[in-house]
Amino acid sequence: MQHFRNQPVKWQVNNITGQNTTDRELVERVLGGETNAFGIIIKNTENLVAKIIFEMINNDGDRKDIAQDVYLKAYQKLPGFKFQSKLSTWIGQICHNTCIDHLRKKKMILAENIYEPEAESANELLDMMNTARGNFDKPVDTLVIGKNISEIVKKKIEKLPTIYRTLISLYHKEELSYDEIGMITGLPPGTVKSYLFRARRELRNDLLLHYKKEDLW
Amino acid sequence: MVTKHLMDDEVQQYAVNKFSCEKRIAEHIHLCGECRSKVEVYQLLITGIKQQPQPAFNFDLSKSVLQQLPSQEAKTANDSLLIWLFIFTGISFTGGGLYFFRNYFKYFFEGIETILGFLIVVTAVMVLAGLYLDMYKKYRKEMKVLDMG
Repeated sequence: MQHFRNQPVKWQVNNITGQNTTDRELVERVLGGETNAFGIIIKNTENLVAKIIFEMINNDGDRKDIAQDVYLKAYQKLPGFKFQSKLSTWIGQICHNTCIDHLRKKKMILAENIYEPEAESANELLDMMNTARGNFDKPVDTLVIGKNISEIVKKKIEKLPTIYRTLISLYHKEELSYDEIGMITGLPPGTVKSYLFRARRELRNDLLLHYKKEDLW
Repeated sequence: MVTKHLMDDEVQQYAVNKFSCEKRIAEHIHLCGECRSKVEVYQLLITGIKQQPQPAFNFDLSKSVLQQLPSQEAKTANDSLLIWLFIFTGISFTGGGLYFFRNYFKYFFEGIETILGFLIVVTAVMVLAGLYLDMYKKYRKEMKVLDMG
């Protein structure tokens, strides 16, 4: 089964010069001692790194330290980069691992159990769905009307486990494929897909628990 | 005739990308109001996700990282010093050797034709230069890694 949503991007636009530069060319320039080329790599991958860090780390100070740490590690490991994935995916992987290490150090990871989100039993799920369906009959005055869907969804996403938030962000906002997300997070593509289904289902149920469908439009 | 509603996964699949769905799913959604309603909620949800603001750092990440990278100029200067030291040591040893063993060298090339002697010297120089360049490349690569360690 083909997991790639788009063709792999061979060319990246250099944000500074506006020229097209391949990953290989950039890496060779950095290894040749041109540190400015590493600046281009940072600019090209900064959005992805920010998405991962902001979903996984809450503290602003920690975010700054981790972001810098990610790129210092990437610079250090660059001679070992084998071009088996896109450079951005490789840096995303370093970023995800750095965040996991940080959470482990702070012992925040066990509390949330981010790698094994609790699988809902069939009955629990059924209950949730029934409750959600029942909300279609709720009186309108008990519901928030006319609220911006973006704000509503934001609050619901914040309640999701870290791994779900990260996957949602990488898939829907960064538009990465299951394979690429799998490389970054270390999860098999099938698991990524399954977690994404669960995450969206949780969001949908949560939305319907609190709002009438019509009020969401 | 479709009698069963779609599974939630199938509804989601259609909501995420209807073009990658099986024809059966698309046809069911076209005919079934309940499943279409579920699709609409998911599509609304995905729209809400995509509308979330892009997170961004409140500092210049590129600048702060580049400042922390080891200075290339300093490294180049150290490299040059090391290279000159190698060259000086090499010339000293070679010169010293030639001077002390000059009496033996007088008879060393006797019996070898001039052209053959020339070829031997050129080959030796080329091989040594190749080895040196290879060694220097490896050294630069390893130093780069060690500098960051």
